[in-house]
Amino acid sequence: MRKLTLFGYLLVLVLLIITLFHFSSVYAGNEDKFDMISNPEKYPGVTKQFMGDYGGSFNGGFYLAYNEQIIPIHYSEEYSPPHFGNILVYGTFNKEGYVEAIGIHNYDYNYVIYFISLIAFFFGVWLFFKEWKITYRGFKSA
Amino acid sequence: MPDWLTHIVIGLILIEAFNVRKKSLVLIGTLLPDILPKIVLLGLFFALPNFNYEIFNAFHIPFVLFLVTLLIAPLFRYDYWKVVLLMNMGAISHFLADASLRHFSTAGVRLLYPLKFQAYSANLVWPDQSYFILIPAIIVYIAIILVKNIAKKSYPQ
Repeated sequence: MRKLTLFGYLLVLVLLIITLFHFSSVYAGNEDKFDMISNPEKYPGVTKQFMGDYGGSFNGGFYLAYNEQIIPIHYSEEYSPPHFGNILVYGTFNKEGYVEAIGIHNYDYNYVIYFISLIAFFFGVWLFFKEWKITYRGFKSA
Repeated sequence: MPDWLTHIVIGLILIEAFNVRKKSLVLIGTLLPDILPKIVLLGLFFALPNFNYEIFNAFHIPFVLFLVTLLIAPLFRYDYWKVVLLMNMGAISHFLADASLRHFSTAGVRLLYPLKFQAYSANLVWPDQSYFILIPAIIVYIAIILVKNIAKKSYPQ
């Protein structure tokens, strides 16, 4: 019985590793990390959404700080930057190195959400150690 | 993602609704899908070692997380299948809450992976408006507690 349990455990571990490799290969194809400032000619016509920080404005749009890059976003409508948060941009890449925005959403007070989440996390940790005691053989009921 | 407080309150509703004794197992389940994928946020505070952190997004998939719970359940000196069940109860609530969020494109939760790579989303509320989920969830939680207290007083054992 013990051998069977160990075999089952190893089987799940192998299945998890295979799944991670499979996901990684499929995800790499779907969510290729883009470097559009250095290679804008690689992405013309690609439409996707990405989130970043506000990096200032220019006539006809604004700059988005994304993945250590400053990407010019062309947006025809009136725009005001987010309050304590990030910007979600959905747009089409242009070979001249800018993004033509189709839609924009300001994640206002998103940093507050991170802070609230941190408090919630500590609540979870507190409740966990109220119910479980750590031993050398794992966690046992407190 | 909705904030973690929202996920925890939804978890607390499930705990009260199903009279779960080991509450923390459900709460671990509610946060577990986000723990590894959000590790990149630490990069806001200090430089992270060079690594393909995108692989952590795999843990935000129900099937992968189910496998993880099967592997970590023996860490608890408690009924194995109860640990798996309670963690997955929390995790499912997490995935369903995340699937209610709104996006511009094809973002969402890959509910059917590995059968399908497609991400599903009900496109109801933006992630920064998760109070639309949190406030009703708090009301439901308080209502359940009140109903249970009234029932306990009315039908003392």
